[in-house]
Amino acid sequence: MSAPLDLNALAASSIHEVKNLLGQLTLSLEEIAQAQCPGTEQEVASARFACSRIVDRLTEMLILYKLDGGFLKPSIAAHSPGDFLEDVMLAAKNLTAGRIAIHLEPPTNAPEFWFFDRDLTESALMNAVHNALLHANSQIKLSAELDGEFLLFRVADDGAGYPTEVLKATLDEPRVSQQGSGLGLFFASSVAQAHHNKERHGKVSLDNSKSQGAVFSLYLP
Amino acid sequence: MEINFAEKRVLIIDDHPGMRSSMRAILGGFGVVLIEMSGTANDGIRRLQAKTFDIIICDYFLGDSSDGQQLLEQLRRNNLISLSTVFIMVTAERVYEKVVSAVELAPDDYLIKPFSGEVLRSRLERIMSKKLAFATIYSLIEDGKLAEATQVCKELTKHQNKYTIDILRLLAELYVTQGKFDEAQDVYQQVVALRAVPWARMGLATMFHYKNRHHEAEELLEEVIDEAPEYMAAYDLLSKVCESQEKNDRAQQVLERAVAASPLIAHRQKEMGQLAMRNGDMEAAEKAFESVVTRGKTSFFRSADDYANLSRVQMERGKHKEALSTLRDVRTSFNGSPEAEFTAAVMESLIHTKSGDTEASAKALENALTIQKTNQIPADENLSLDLAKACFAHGKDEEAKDLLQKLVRNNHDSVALIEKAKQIFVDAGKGDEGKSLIEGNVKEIIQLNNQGVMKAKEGDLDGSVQLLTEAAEKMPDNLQIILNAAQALLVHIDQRGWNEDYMASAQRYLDTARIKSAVHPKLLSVSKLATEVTKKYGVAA
Repeated sequence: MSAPLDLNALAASSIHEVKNLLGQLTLSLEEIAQAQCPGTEQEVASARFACSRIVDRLTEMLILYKLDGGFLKPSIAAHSPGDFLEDVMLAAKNLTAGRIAIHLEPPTNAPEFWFFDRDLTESALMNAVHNALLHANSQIKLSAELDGEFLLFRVADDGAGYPTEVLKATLDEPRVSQQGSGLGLFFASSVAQAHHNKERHGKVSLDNSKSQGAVFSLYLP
Repeated sequence: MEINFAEKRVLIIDDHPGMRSSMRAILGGFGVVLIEMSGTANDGIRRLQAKTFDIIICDYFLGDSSDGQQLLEQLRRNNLISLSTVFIMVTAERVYEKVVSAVELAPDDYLIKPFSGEVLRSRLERIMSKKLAFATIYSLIEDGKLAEATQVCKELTKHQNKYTIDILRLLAELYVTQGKFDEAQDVYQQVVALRAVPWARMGLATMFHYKNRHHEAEELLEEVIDEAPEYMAAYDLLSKVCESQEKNDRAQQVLERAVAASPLIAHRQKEMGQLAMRNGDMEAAEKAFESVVTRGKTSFFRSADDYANLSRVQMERGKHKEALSTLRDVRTSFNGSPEAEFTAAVMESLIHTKSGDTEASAKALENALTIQKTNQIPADENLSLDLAKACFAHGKDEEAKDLLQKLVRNNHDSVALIEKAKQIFVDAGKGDEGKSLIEGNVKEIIQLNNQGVMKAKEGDLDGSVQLLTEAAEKMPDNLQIILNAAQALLVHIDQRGWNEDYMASAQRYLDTARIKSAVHPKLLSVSKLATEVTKKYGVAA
């Protein structure tokens, strides 16, 4: 008999393949969107949202698989937090078709540049955006600021806020939930922790705002 | 920034037809109309040679023969795209993120598929704003006004903005190009202090290497490789550092690791072949050169030299039939260009001698000498040595001596070359004659050099200039001579007053020296002198 199947590697390569197929599907959706058939905007947007969530979830799986194997290291380079957040906003807008307004808060004391892994951080933030899109009433706010020795990215919505059990839960291990947000938060937290500068590590914190809605905060050292 | 996309020329390079048309649709969505598409790297290169494009969007995976990063490096090294051309890499994998953080020549940006038209448009606009901010520096660099470009960069680093790190990187690279290694080191250190990003540490290690601080370079490179094992250039440099310390086996091992990780990179395989040959590992050398030639066949950038290397090592291993077949290939591959013909003829002459076919060997030698006489063949050291060998084999002693003498006079301080030349005399049974001829020439040049320098010291600046510039005209490839000539001219200007012609000659010698070796220790001090003298007379460099 041949060597036993390495299920982990097999799963990883299947995820890879499915992810690429979804990539092509997304491009086709893009072409459909450009044809601008009247009355299809909402349908196209929700198809995009579904695709984007699947792609992002698979990407997270792959990244977590690598993190677990201990061979994922962030690729640190200097990026402008303002530009970065603009990309996140564009990606978010693409998923709502105007149903929910995405606001980019004017940078108050955000640094001109910061050293971080742009793609990992975008995956982590997009995760929060997906959650926010599912729970927001009418708007989502994105912001970047300097908080002590950390760069802080925030995603805030005007929905019902995080349930108490989510606020209480530890993010250090994946939590299986019906909505799937447990894995996403674990992923974001893993990405934050993979960022370190001197002795400081990144972190994620979850809060409910005093007025209304959930606030996701990502700190990068 | 508002950009009129309708007037931008865009080239899409992707081996996947479906992806090409999707990309065209996305670009069309925000008004791009001037679009061309290529399915292979070579087709892309041909289009870029024929026409100027504003934007290149290239997939990282280009099928089996090449990848987008290799293509980008070839385009930049061969000046097929200008600094203001936008190059965006597109990839389906996160793998490229690792690659891009560890390359010397990075694209302007990269995007991971899938992405929306909005994202692509926003990235393009951002890159173009950045190119606009850098426009002055780019045009100064392209005009060769490096000192002024450096000045502008320095100004820009005074106020922090989102381009600060990019400007620092460019500034460091400018310093390196001008041979100002101390200044470059400072800049790299400044970046490392902010964050130890791989390219800055790599830059620092390179400066240590240039300044012969091998231990520091080695330590730093070990760290870089440990943390970023995908950083291929770090292996290349570590291998060189090992060689500088005469740890040749270790140098080969280091390079072997890099070759195993990315066997497609021709320049590394070439380096590997040469190193293995020096180490006497002919099997590894043949394997490496073989790979260079095989891959080069489909590449736009290939050289007759690669075939010469392969046939040389095949001959050494007694594979005469294979060696001759390699030379037939060089003729077809280059459509019988004089350079290819010359390469083939020189090597054929040696191979036929080895296999005992004196007549064929003599014919090949005649052929080589005729081509050399009627065409300007650039003097490749190894090929010249081989030609001298062939001349001796056929009793053309005068030609052989002449060739070797010329080589020695142009490289009188290269120990390795002198040894090789002496060995050729020994093999021809003229060891003593060779020894005295070579040593006589070396001695003569050293004396000439010393006389020139002495005259300057004694205050006879005119005599020093005359002696050394005459020597430089006779031995235009001798680095030490031309640098001393440049120095004599500069000292003359410094002490006797501004002289336009002298400055022009000095700059010409410096340019030649830079092309031959950017790291010659004397090049630094003479370059510095040129800057000081220019400043003294308030002439714009």
